[in-house]
Amino acid sequence: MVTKKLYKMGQWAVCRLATGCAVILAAASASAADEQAETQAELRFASELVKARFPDYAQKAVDRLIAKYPGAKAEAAKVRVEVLTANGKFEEAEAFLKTLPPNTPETMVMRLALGDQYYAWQRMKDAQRIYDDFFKQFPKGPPAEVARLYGESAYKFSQMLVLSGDFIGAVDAYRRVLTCPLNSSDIERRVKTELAELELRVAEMPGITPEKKKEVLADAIKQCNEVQWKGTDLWFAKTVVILCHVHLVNGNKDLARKAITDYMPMLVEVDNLLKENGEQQLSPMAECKFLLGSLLEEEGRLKIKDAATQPEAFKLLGQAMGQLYTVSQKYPSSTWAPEARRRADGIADLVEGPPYNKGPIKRPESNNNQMVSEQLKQARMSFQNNDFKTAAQKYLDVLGLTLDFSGVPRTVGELARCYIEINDAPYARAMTEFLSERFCQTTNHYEEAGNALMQVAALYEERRATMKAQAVYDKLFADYADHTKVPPLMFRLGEVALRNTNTVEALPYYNRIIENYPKARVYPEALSRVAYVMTLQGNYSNSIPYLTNYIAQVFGGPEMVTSRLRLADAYRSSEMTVMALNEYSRLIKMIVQDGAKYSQTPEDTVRVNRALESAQYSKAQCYSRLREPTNQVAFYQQKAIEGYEGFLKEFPKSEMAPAALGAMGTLNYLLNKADEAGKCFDRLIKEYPNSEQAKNTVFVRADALMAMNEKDKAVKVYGEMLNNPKAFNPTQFLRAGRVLLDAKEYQVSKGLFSEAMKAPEAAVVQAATVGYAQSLGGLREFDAAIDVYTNFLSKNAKSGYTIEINLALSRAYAELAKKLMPDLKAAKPYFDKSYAAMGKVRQYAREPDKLVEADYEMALIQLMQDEKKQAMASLVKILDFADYSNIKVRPHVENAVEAALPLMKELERYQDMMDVCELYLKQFPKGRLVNKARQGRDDAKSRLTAGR
Amino acid sequence: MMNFKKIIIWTGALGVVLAGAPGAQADVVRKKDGTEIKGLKIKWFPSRQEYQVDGVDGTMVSVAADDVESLEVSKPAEFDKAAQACAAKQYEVAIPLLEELITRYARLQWDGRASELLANAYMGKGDFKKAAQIMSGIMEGTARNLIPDEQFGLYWAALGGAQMNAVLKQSLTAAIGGESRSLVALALVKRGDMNKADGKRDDALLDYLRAILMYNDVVSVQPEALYKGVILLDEMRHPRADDLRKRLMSSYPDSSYARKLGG
Repeated sequence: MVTKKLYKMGQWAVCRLATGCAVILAAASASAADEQAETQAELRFASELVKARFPDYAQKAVDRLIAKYPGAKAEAAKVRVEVLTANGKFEEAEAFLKTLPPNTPETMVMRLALGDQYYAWQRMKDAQRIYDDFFKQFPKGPPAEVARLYGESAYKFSQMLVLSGDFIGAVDAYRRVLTCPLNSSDIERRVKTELAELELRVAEMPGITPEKKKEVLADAIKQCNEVQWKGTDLWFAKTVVILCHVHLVNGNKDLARKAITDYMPMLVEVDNLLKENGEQQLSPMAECKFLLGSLLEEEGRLKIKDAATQPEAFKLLGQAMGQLYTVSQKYPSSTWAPEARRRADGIADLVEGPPYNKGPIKRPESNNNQMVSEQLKQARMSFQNNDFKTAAQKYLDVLGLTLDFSGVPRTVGELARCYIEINDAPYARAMTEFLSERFCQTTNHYEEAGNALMQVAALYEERRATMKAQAVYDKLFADYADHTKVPPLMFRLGEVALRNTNTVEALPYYNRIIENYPKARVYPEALSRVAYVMTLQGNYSNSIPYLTNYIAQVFGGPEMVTSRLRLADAYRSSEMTVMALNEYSRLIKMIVQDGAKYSQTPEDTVRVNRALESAQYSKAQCYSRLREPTNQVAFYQQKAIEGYEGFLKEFPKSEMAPAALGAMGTLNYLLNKADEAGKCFDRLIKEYPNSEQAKNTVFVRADALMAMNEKDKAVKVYGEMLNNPKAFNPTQFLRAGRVLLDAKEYQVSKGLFSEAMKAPEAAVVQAATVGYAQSLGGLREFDAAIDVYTNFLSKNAKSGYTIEINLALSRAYAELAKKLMPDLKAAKPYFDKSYAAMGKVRQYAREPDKLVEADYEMALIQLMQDEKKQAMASLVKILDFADYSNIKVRPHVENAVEAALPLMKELERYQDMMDVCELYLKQFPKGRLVNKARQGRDDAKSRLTAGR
Repeated sequence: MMNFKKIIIWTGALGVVLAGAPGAQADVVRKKDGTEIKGLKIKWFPSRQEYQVDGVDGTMVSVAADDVESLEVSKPAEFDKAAQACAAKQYEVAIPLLEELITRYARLQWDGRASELLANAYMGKGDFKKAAQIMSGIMEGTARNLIPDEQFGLYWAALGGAQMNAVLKQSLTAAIGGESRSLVALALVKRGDMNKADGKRDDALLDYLRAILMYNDVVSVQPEALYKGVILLDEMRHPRADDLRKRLMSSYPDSSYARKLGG
């Protein structure tokens, strides 16, 4: 009984265990299936990212996958190779592949994928090495388990070789394909036909040896015969054409003709079959008839010269015309159709004209439209298949027929793009110019031609041929100014330049939109961008009219709020504090009273709230900057404190909150409210302990004073830093030093930089050393400055400060030389060193502003040496060649004008002086030298008149 | 035979009367068994969980809620009025109208549409929490597969605005793990927005790219995903921004997002 019970219990336990195991296994397999599905999906995604040229993000996706499922590492290997090769890191990819178990099918597939990538990067030799290594593994043919991979790879490799023009190699690859079981008679016959075609091409290659020619032609015949034995179909028909060509290569025209005529019934059968299936474009009939027609024509033309054989010649030419006209009429989509029509018409002209006068000959009605449309289809198919050479020839055939068809600009554009793709630059340019000029006066082709031009430019852009793309865009803007897509295109180009922070290049695009396309959809955005560019260039006041105009164009939404904030910021940055204050007040009122009106989405709400935050902070800051009337300053400072308080109440978590508290503390100091100030700084330390400001309140005070335009007081506070240097870090000393260097407070800046030079970071030390030497220069301690600079250069030969230091060194040596003048002999060694340093600047500088600055400095040194004519030459070089549109270059140009005017007067070069003044007034209508330039112009004018 | 003819004539006459009477639109209850019941008015009785169809002739037919496949209730005039007020951003006018409609048309088709509009109105007012609450109410009462993607979009926008990030994340994760490809794509874009707002730019970009590359058949989401991808890549100064820009401009030139990029 007990045993029975135990047995039953045992059974039950086993059942339970089994059930439990089943459940666990099911759960495990379900979870494994989920993991597998997710892994596969992620790897697919990573692969797509590589294809979309985001290899960096593909790597991130794979890294995350492996972090989640470490077991997916092996599966991710393929994507890793893709990522590496997409980044051009082939050596790394090869090294990685070496870490995988060799000779497994997975590794082989990955290696071959690497070969494909080499090919894609046009590294055919490396691709060939990979493929050859693979084939070498199987000298006696592939074993069954890799036969399929072997065959597919051999076929793919053969196509690569064909496209690379290595037909002999491709023949070998094709022969490898045939060593694999192809499992389909149709595929086998196709491969054999393609092999025979290729062998024919090899036989036709110039310089081929007679033995090789004989061998490949014999094999081609063998392949054709094998194909022909197995059915009358497309492959059969193709081999007829191949055999015909083989006879022609062997110089046996009669046999060629005979081959076609003998096989004609079968060819007709195949042609009908293809016609029934709607695949007539595949039929080799057109080629056969074209060949036959051409052979007959050739013979006819020979025999017509002899009176005795003329009757037979007319017969042959008649037959030729029949064949050729059939090709053009019945096979208009075939490659041979246009040429067949031309040839047939040529024969008709010959027979009709003197001396034979056998006319009139009835010619079939020319149906250009159908032929154009069919030929275009073919051309576009080749174009889409990236077979640009064939496509170009077909486009030319079409354009040779007529230029009067719908879609002709697109066709010309595509032809130009074919030439770009096959690197035929002169033809590409010729076609592009033809496209631009031929259709810009038309109405029906105008838009299409403009679009085609844009596509040409886009292709240049894609190939990173920026100058060429620019040239096409220039043509487009000149010839197709009224094209609907020109304004958005200009805007896009502006955006591209702006993304590269090339504001000088971006600005003209936006300005053209503003000047010429006030009704364009992008007009308001162009206004906004110009204002933005002005801000980037520091021209805050110039951005104001653009922003005002932009605001007038904006209809509600968060843009209304942000644009008003930008306007207020522009006023503030232009030191138009009262205007800024008014604008901030208006904006705050607008948001507080009607905020919802400007926010449709949560994102809008965030933007509007940020604008409010910024406006409240800046409004308080504006109050702290007001200095007039002087008796109201304390009142304004109190208003600023209230403003900051309000701001802190509403935005306690704002990033600007510590700065606001710092400013409040400083303002209280200025108002002699030491207790209140102390409370503010205590609050700063307590509420924002991790903020930079809380860590150092002296620095905060100085910073706040600078922001309030209280420069003198700020300098004093910065100076306090030196009393307790341990309380500050080197970066703070560096920053303070720079502020004081700009403020020309050289003695204090020298001390601050000296503290910063104790930093452990090399970058801070370098920057501080340069600042220190500049301070010495400012204090006119040139010997000491030179020592620091030369010492620095000896230790940091490749420093990023090389140009800046050499400029300063050159100045310092020149100043030392100047002290010794007029003793030129004593001064010369210093001048020489000054020139040498300037030579280094010219050697390393690439930026246009640095080069112009170097020229200007050179002129100053020459002036110190009293070499006025040379100095004049240096200055004229700047004035003639500098890029006036480059915002960084312009200040140096102004300096050059300032130096050049008195020199020109002294050297009595009045015409030059007048020209320079006029140029300046044109280029710098609001420049600092406007009055000098006007006076100089009038002075030069009167002297020139008096001189006459 | 005579009787049958009479019935046809009577039914035809009723049809003419119904069609001819001004404003007499028939409301319809479609039952799960395929039959339809038309009447002048449909009423809902929550205590009985039943609909009642009032016929033209004064008859009343009761139908259990469980037997009902769908309803067709004439649009109340106040609905258009409320919709117009919403469009004109007169939310204070629209909200009471809609709240009244929701009560009056509870379970009578228009409560759902009115709730959606109400949520929109609250969003317009900037009261995202309330909008999220309403949307959540609508969605809880509807089978998941019957909720249109737009409602999910609205719900997520409201959650985002109300900064209910944990709920939003949960809802997005559920949608991304779901079967509807269009909803997955939409959720990916929204998750991208969320990640971007959190400063997780890489995550955000991967979400947008996933929507673009793996769900390119979901045409309704593509322009938004491409646009947001372009903006983010621009911010990151990533060289591929132009690829996505071209894709948006060439594939969806008429979309509002292409216009936003200056197309």
